[in-house]
Order: sequence, then structure tokens, then C-alpha cells
Amino acid sequence: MAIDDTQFENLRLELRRGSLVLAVLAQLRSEQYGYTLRKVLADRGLEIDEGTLYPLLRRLEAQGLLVSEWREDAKRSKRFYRLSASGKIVLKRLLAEWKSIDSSLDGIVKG
Amino acid sequence: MELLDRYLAAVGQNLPKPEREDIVRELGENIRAQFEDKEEELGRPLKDAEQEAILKQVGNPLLVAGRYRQDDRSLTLGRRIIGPALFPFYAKVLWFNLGVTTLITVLIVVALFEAGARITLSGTISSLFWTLAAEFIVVTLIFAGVERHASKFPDHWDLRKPRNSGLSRVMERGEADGTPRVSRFQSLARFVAGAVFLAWLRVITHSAYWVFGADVGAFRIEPIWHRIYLPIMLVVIAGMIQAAITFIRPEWVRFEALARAVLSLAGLAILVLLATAGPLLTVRDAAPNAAQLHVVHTVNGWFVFYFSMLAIAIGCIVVFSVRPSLRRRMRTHRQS
Repeated sequence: MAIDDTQFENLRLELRRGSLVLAVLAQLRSEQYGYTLRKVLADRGLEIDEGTLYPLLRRLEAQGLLVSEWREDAKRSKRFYRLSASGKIVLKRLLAEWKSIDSSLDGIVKG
Repeated sequence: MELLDRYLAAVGQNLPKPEREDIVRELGENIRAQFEDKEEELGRPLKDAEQEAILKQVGNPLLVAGRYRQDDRSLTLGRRIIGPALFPFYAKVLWFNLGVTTLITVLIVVALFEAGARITLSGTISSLFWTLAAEFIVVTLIFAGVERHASKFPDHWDLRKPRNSGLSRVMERGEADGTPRVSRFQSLARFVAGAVFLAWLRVITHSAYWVFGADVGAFRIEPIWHRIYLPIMLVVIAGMIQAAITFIRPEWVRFEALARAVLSLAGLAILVLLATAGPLLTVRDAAPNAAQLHVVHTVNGWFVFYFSMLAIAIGCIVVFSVRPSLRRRMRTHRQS
């Protein structure tokens, strides 16, 4: 049975979802606001929609992984996010998990 | 920035109130930064079309608001029917309709039980189950259609139109940007309630067993019910058509007020007809026993009570529907 575009898109999104959280947490080791974070991620090859990234930041903050504050930048008030103390611990564990999955997958794919 | 303000207003009206201001402020600052970046790149201010292209990239206001709701629930039957962005609105409409139906059913059962009618638990549960199932199907089909439309045409919304009729305003509340509008939630809820009432009316008139259970053979519904069946159907269908029109055209506030007033008056006329028609339920047996007479007496009493309450409610609806139009008219008259 041939896989259609919608099915592929769903699988792709599922694969990306976890990786995006990891990328956002890793990037927020240094403080950023929503738009600049998106630009940095895009420059590093990870495009993420605004409609996905901005709500994700708030969700991660609600989970206690990020902290934020409103601050003036270029004469405008912006909300800056950075990794919280518990976010740092979670990121460390997630990165270890990611590396383990990556090396396992590498072995599986190469046969 | 007018376009951006309208976009933010469209997102904001679909957000939970406690977080609305904060989310809109943050989203606005991020989009403004994006505008400024693009302006710097081009060396000139952005045109409306360029601003709109960026807003399209951010996404449909309704779906963006849905993502901020932090609600990952969705309806999946084999494949996804209603996604997380639309699910909170679906749940709101569904619970509202199911709640109202359950309340009305409980009131009817309590009234019949008090009248001494033999109400069976299985009959009541079965009747309620089928009514709620019909309601669930109607609401789910409507939202599945909206979801399908949103996935097929994600860019089908236009903030430049003065009265945007796209998906982004599907669940908007009235007067979000200062212009009066009929709430689409209200129109949708009324449409669904009308559809379910029609189905219920048809079942009841074709099988009184659903109301009287095992006692069905002992009682007779008076012919007046059959005479007013068609007018009731017509009023309900007209109400559904009006709800469908105001769903598509929420800015037709005057039409809604006028239609509601006319339909309410028609409903009032039906109630007056029923209230003055004498007993609406009689005993079939020529020599009824005391228990049967008690049931008939109490049920007819409840009818009069319900009709009086309904008539008062409808009277209030008529007054509240026409009052804003009358005020506007009087103001215009005084000014001229």
C-alpha cells in the first residue's frame, strides 16, 4: 500500500515534535525572545512556524522548564525566555536520551 | 499596523480571558519585530500585502489561539476528525447542547413522575441516550466539516475584508472589535438545538411510548396537538434557517433581531392556542380510575405552568430583541 502525503506529513510532524522541544531548550541556555529564537533556529537549519513556537514557549514555561520576564530591548518591551534550573536538568537528561537513540538508530540504519 | 491590530483582535477573542492580554501583547511584539526586520531588509515600510503574507505565515487566528490554549485533546475515530486547535470550541458547543438537553429531559421526567405516570428507568435512559446521540452526531459533523475546510484551505481567511466570514471568526463572540455581531457560538448552538428538537418532536408524535412508557395505551393526546404540529415544525425550521444565516453573516444584527421577534411572536401565538384549547391530555377509557384522572389532572396542570413560563420567557425575548433597534431608530429620528 502506497503511503500518501498526509500520512507522511503526520509521521514527519510526530518525528519533529520531540526534537523541537529539545532544540528550543538547548537554544534557551542563552536568553532570547520569541522572534529572535525562531531566527536563530532557522539559521541553524531548524525552521519552526511562529504559530507553533510561540505557544510552545508558554507551554514549556508552564511546565517549569523555562522562566521569562518582560524587558526593554530596542525601545520596545519584549518577553525574554531562558532555561530554568529544572529545565537545565531536564535538558541534560533529554540530550543523553537523544544521543543514545541517535547511536542506536545509526547502528540499525547501517545494518 | 491596522492589519496587525485586527489580526491580534481575532486571535485574542478566541483566547481564555485571564491570559488574553499577555498572549496578545507578546505575539504582537514578536510580529512587530518580524515586520521591522523585513522593513530593514527592503529599506522601506511594508505594504499591506507584505504584512498580510507574514500574518498568513503566523497562521489562521483561530488555530493559533487554539494552540495557545494548551489543550492537546482531539477527536479521533480511526483518523483524526477534530484536531487540538478546534477541539476546545467543539467541546464548548457540545457540552452546552448536551447540558441543556439533559436539563430539559430531567424536568419532563420529574413532572411526569410527580404526576404519577409509570416512568421506567430503562425508558428514560434510552430516550435520553438517543437524544444525546443525535446531538453528538450533528455537532461532530458540523465541526468535522469545519476541520476539513481548515486543513484543506489553511490560508482561507482575509483580514482586509471589513466583515471577514472566514474560519477565523467561526467561534467569535459579539462586538470583539467594537462592531455589533451575533455570536457564532450562539447561532451554532441554536441550529443544533433546533435539529435535535425536530428529531425529538418527530419521535414523540409518532410514538408516545417515549413519554408515557408502559401507560401509553391509557391516555389520549387531544387532536389540537396534531393541528399545531405543522406550525411548530415551521417555526423551528425557520429558526434553524435564521441561525444558519446569522452564522454565515453575524453582522446582520438587525435581521437577527427582527427574525427573532417574528419567530417569538409566532411561538407565542402557538402557546396561546395551546393554553386556551382546554385539556391537552385525556384518559382513553370511558370510565377512568382515580389514578388515571390524577395523572391527567397533574399533567395538564404542568402544561399550563410550562406554557405560562415559556410565554413570559418569549415575551422577554421579544422585548430584548426589538429594544436595540427601537432605540437606534428613535436616536436617528431625534437627530434628524
